[in-house]
Amino acid sequence: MTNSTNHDLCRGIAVSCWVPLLAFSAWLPAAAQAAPSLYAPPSMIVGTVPTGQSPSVVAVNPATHKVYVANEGDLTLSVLDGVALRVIATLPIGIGSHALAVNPTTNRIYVANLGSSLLHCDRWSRGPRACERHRGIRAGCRGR
Amino acid sequence: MLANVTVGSAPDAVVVDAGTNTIYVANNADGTVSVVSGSKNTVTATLSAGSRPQAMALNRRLKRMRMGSC
Repeated sequence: MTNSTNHDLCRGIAVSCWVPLLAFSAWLPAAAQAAPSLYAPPSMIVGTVPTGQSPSVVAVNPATHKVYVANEGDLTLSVLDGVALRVIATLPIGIGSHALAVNPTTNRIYVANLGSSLLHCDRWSRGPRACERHRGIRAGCRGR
Repeated sequence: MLANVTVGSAPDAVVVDAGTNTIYVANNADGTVSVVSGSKNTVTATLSAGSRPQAMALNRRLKRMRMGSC
């Protein structure tokens, strides 16, 4: 329990249920911002999208313009259309989803859960119905 | 959901190498990094990563992974 507490303290947990989409160039030094070809325009909120409870981590697939938000509070993954700025799917994930990563080449999304597991699915961007359970893919991999 | 791969304890960071279709998972409580094959959905290696790895950054050109600890 002590480890878990320290772990959470180290990470810092977002408590907002809204995900403002920002450009972060305003945080950069002035010299860095002087290179417009390398950095985004000055910071501004381009939209606010409601997600699940306590969104903790975000990942983007630049190839599909999908944004993935892991919500630790309600154990869901929000899939956002990054162009339309709306949630297009909400999917169940495990406890303590502390990290997300996307492979834009294969369009697979990886979710690290506190329970020592790594989940992935390659069809989440198409909606929950396509994200069906696959069992017995290989020895050592458990379908859920 | 396509697969559930068991890695180390308290996985806290994930990095994907799209070039090799390899996934790296930093296991905070174990002090290890699990290397997962994206094609086979299996852990191919578990590497020591020091105390409480918290973040990772992959340099594909140099084939180096930088680790950050809490």
